[in-house]
Amino acid sequence: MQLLYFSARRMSTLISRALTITKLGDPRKVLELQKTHVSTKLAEKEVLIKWLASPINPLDINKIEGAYPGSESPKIGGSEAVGVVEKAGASSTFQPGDSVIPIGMGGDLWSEYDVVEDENLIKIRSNIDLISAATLLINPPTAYVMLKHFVDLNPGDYIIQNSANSGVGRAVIEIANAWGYKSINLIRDRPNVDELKADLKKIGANFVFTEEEFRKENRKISSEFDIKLALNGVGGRSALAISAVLTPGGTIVTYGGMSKKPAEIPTSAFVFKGIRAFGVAVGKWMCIEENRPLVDQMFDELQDLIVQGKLHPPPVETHDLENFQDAIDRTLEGKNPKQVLLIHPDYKKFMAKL
Amino acid sequence: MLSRTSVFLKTINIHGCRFASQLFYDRYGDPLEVIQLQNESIETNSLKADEVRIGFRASPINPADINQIQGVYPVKPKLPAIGGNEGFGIVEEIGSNVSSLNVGDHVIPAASGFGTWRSEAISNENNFYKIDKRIPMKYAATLQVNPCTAYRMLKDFVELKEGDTVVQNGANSAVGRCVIQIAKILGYETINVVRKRENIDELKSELESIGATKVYTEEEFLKNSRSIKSRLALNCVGGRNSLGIASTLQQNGIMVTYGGMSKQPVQGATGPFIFKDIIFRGFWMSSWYEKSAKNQELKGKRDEMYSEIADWIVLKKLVKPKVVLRQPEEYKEALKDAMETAGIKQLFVFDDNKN
Repeated sequence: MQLLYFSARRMSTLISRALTITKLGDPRKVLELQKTHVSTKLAEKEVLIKWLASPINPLDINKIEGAYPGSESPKIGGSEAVGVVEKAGASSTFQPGDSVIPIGMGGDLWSEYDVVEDENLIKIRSNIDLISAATLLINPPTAYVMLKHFVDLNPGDYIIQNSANSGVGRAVIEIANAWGYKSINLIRDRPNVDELKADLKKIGANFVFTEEEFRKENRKISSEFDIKLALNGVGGRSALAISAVLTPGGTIVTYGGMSKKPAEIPTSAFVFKGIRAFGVAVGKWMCIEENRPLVDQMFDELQDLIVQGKLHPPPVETHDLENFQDAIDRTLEGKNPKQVLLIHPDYKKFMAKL
Repeated sequence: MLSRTSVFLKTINIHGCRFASQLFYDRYGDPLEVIQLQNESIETNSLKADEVRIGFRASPINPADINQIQGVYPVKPKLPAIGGNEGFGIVEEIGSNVSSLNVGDHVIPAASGFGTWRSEAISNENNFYKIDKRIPMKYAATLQVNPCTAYRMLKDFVELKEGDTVVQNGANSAVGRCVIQIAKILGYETINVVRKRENIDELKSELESIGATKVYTEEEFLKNSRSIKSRLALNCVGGRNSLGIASTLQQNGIMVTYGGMSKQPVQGATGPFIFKDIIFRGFWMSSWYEKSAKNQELKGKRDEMYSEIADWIVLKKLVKPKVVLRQPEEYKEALKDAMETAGIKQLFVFDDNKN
């Protein structure tokens, strides 16, 4: 990658390639890799970042399609990323070489370079691998907040979730396990489902059922265990299945709707069992200034878990930024077991360093 | 909870005897098949020190009563049981150590499950709750469940301000009508969804005359829902209807479910949970009463609620509930109508009948 510097008399800029949503629509058609100019002249508390890796999440697809509130175009895509500080403003709290992730989700992340204010970044420890860092902003915090902020759980308590194999689902399994909670996990049926079940049990899942299996087991499960918390990333009948087994006073938290159907919850659960239903949106929560100490504490705890080997990133497949069409195709395939990661040309260099 | 005036016959005593009637069931099933009327003359019972004898004047048939007889309601009195969970009576005799009630007091059951389809009951004084004597019979008999459900739902979930909008379905139900009226008294607007029917314009006028801001059929509501901004939604239908009313909720809005007429699960779209911090809750009056029996603060709220509703009744701010009076002997027609029609409540009335 050539850095082009103009003469000292003009403003310093770099040319940075950025994957841009030119207009809202089919992700296969509306994305373009464009050349942008990024200023290297920084304000006091700004840094110049090289974004090294950024996943393509379902929410990114929704943003491109225009199905996400606040979707706009033209806009550089991306919802989370890991970057390295290249240059820091005069009173920035960051230093060149620092690993960072962006707070909040409005940044120009599918861009080789970006200028970001200090307050919109979180420093990540140098012993955290790039892939974990690249996937640290959305899924693990969603799992963390859902397990911590809604119900007072104690070690030995049971929680239930659907979409257990998703990024959030896996983070839920691992964090629940680390905190001593037991998880009952629902997944979609598929070929080699036993392999997936074994996989999830290895990372700490106590029970794993396909949705169909659970329909037969649910009475037994609900009579045996007091399930206080249900985590819903699917909606529709799957939400019905997990909310129906909640103990009186239980809570269901919705973080997604993969089925694209409204969540269903039994009337009797609300009326006779006093069940409560909430939603969670960590992006918004993280951006509220008063929450910053809690946010910092959360990222501390999550990094501790990563270093202790108790929290792992999803399996990924990397695609160079310029091969974004392949990356999008692989994301839209749906049953791709790997998380697609867009990477900067220098990514492999940084991976080698660790 | 059966009173000491048991369902089964005691010896007839010509002197000091009176007639008591009760509608009971000894197995679950179709109310038209399992409910039986028992008219017995009973001897004068002496009361235990802490007991009172109540002469019931009127008790309605509510949907929960039907469900209870069918065996699908969580409150399950021991069988054989007398039907009915609310009603109004007058204290006719008190035991030697009774402190909370006097002869002539107007009472309703303290809790669900009492068995109110009967002309009299003898039970511990704690099983009855004294109400304002100024409340006329038809209101008193239907006070415990429906107006109170509406009241609590409007007060306990969202801090509403004057001019705020509340959306509800099942607006023509007893609770729905109470919601309309109480909301009007408190200064809130109500958007009301009802099932389409033949004389729909008549119904709309009627509901508007008791305070509804707007009344829509389900189809009309779907066309207009986008422009509605509500803070509280009240659901007793479920299914697509509940999805529709919940969609009007603004940031931090709450939908409270208190019934499920469609028998479909409640539906909530994913987006509003995530982007608008919408919450779904449930409400069950029986459970609230149970909690209030054990909690001083809630007991205070119960008194406050009855007192406020009594004032509204006396000031004619709440219209008389639509009821049809039934003698116990008409129980088959009453039950049939209760199960098949909506908008009018069957009310068993018991004669003040002492020999």
